[in-house]
Amino acid sequence: MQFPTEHLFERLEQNIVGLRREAEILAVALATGRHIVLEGPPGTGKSSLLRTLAAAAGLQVVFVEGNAELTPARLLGSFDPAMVLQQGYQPECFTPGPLMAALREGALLYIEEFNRVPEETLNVLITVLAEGEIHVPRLGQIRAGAGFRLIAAMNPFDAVGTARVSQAIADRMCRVAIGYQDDAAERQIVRRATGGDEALVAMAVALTRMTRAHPDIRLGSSVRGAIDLVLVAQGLSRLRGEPAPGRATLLDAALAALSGRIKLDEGCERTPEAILADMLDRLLAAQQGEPTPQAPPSAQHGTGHGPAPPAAGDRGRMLTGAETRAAVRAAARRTLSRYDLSTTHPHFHMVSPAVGELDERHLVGLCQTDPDAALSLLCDLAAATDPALRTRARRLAARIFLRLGKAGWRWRQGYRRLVVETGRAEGELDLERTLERAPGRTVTRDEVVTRRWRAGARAIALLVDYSGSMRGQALATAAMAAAATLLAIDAQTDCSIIAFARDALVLREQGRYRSPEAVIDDLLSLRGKGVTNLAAVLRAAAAQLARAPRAEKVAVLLSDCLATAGDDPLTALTGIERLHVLGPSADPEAIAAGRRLAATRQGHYVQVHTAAVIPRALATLFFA
Amino acid sequence: MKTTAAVLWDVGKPWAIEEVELDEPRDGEVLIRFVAAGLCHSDEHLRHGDLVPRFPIVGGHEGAGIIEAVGPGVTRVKPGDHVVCSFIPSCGHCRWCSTGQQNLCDMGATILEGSMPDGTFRFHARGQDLGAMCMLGTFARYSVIPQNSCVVIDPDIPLEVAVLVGCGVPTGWGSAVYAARVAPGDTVVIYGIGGIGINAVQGAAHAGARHVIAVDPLANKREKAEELGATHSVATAEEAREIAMRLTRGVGADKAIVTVDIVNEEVVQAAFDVIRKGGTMVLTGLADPAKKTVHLSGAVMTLYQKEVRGTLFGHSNPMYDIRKLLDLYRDGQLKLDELVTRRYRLEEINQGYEDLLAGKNVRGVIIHEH
Repeated sequence: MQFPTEHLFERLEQNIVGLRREAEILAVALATGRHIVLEGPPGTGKSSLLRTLAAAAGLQVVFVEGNAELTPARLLGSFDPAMVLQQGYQPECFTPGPLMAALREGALLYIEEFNRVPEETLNVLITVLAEGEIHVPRLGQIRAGAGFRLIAAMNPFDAVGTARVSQAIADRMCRVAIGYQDDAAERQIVRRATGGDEALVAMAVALTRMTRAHPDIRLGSSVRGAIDLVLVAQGLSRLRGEPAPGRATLLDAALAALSGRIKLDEGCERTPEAILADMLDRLLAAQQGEPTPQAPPSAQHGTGHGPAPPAAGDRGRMLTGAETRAAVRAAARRTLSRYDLSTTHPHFHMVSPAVGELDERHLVGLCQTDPDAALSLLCDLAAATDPALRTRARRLAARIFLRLGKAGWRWRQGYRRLVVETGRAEGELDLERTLERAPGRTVTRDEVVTRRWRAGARAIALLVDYSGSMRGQALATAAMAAAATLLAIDAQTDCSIIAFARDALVLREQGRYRSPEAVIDDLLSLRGKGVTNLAAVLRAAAAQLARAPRAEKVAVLLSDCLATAGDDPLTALTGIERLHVLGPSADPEAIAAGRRLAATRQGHYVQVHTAAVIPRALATLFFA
Repeated sequence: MKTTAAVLWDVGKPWAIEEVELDEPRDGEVLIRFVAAGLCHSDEHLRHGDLVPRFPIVGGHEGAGIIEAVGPGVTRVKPGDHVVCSFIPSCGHCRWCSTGQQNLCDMGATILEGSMPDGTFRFHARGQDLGAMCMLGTFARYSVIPQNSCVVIDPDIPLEVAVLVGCGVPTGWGSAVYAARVAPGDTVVIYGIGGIGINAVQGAAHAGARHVIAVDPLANKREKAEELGATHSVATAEEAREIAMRLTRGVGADKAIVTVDIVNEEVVQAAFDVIRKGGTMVLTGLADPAKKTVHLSGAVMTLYQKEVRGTLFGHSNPMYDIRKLLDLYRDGQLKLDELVTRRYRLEEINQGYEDLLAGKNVRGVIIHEH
């Protein structure tokens, strides 16, 4: 493509509102032959921008919708079985897929929902990105035409059914992040799309933008919600013979346009309808210059007025969302002086020679020679009174634990397996094997050999015991277990992380994205003492696992398994299909209790004396 | 050297940001670079004539900073030490210091004079000697202060938080714990939730009070009190009395603590009335020294054996209590971060005191720019 000129952007502006900066970067990246990944929430104009830019620059685009069914053969193309049976492997029997078409034409290959594409399909792209050509068995080398580019779009905040894009791919692409446009730009988009009058458009955009900031809403609506709202409101008011849409009409339109687009926080006891009605009323009141009525807070225990009421009979409670945050913050109040740290950790003064200092190199070196001392020191530094040291230690801790947590992946054999089946006629036809079975004659249905990737979905709940006196060593084990578990998340595996003493604190909910750094940071705050309520955490785990109805439900318990509160843990196992136990204690009684508990759900008991053995232990449990 | 300070030239005048001349430290004195200064009502009392200092005076008596240099004969601190200033010095050997009442040290006699212990001044401007409030003048970027006002603290505690334990926190916390001798199970009423009252709330809760009733006309103060340990919060003394009587089945509160901005007869009467037989009322707040704010029935006092106590610095021993309170903060038991409502630049000091008078702040803090 030509190097972009001002003329190009003028043409762009006729179709696209705002996004000038992103358009410039995208245009230049295309002109200089770069591959690009566009990241941003839905409805921010990723596709429109690319389509418009390609059209203005006269580039051809091949569009592909990324999903779990996009197999390598569907992306690249495949031989037509019927034609091959008649004519053998001739090039004309090959039905090109979108990748092949883009390579041959030298066009842009645009893959939407990039992070939903299975890993084995993405691996096909690595060769193309690296070499500019691909070898197709029985067809030969295909060289990419001059204009070939990969443009990928994805919503990185979507945690359901997505996978991480591997470093090999990420390393070969530029990234352009697109956020929601500002208020004025969104109004312009809605005006262009609907021709609605100014007041209605402003109201719809304001309401839509409010959904992104409301405390009870996890995922707000994109500008598409505002467009629908305007169109439905206009139509309804015409139908009802109103001069302008009244409150009832606006509310009907808002519910139709937004109630399905917003995702509420778990534990929010209000309905989307109630929240939207409330927001609309506040908007209308503000327009009429009335003082804004306070939104009623969602019904929650213990907001702001001391501790929540204790549960009956010491059953313990499951805390999520804001309650968990508050409990973590309360636990983080207790900090450690330099004197305290130096008396516990012989290496303290080497790692932090003065207030505010953290010698990362020294600490990383210590990780090589004495990982247990290093990790337990790091966990205690994360609770230093000194704010600068504490902040740096916490940042470093998240990095180090995630890096070490990956160690288990070397043993990962891939949970998805390619299975070859005969006579099932599911998945992709394995032409070669089928022809081998029936050389030179018609194939019967029972002889058809097919291949498919089989992977059962799995939900894992990691349960971390922080009762007793948690300090460096025990915290390091917990943080390591969390890091290794979070790294296991992919298209097929999701996990929740629950820390527990008397109550169960859900740090990461099943099916809800939260950065691994944030979860590890939470764990490093939990150094409280308390009783061990195994029954409460097992019930909490079952509740979290129930959110993944079709998955295998696995719980991994990191605890000495000696319950000191709550009822009998054996009565709380409903809804957990498999239970593994990681035992940090060498006490024979604790080991026996752990083994007993694991045996109830055909799980394994693994002794974990140090944090360093955790990743490997988990890898064997998850991927064996 | 030259430095910048907020000066009061006379009663009723606003705070003036001035360039002032600062002398070298002399015997027993140190040069300190202030990092933070708390906006306490007492400095504003100087401006309104409720407390009468010698004018002109550099304001500020709640401060924390780092020792830059020491004069001859200084043994308590060294350059580089992190220091919280005590608003009353403690010499360590007068009758009061040597009997565990450092808050009454004889050196406190001249803190409104604002001169150094030798009677001379270190701040000068426009050809005049300027006093320093409590011998500190924490509204100056640099100051020369007696080593006896310095409490060395661990350097890993942020000075902008530690500054609060120079005056407001120990005065409030000590009013409950030491002066009122709050005991586990007590019912305590606290009148006026500002920088002092909020810490009386924390102190009463720490000491094990069963009921802590916070009284303040402003909703934001009441909310803060509940966040920091109050079990009840009400807008008026009348409501406080009703609740206290209901909670104690008509007996009355065990302790009442008066921490209002300007003490008057009404609040003293209310506090005196709310306590039970043998109960204690503590008077922490200030008013114009010429005003008689305590007018009570002697017969009631006698027949009901009620105790009325004044307290300075919450009966604390600054050298010990300032460090102890910081240890409680370190362990997460004392809340300090939550006390700071807003931070100001030195130039915004008049705004800071306006906010205090308007009831917006539990505590405002000046962060000095260097």
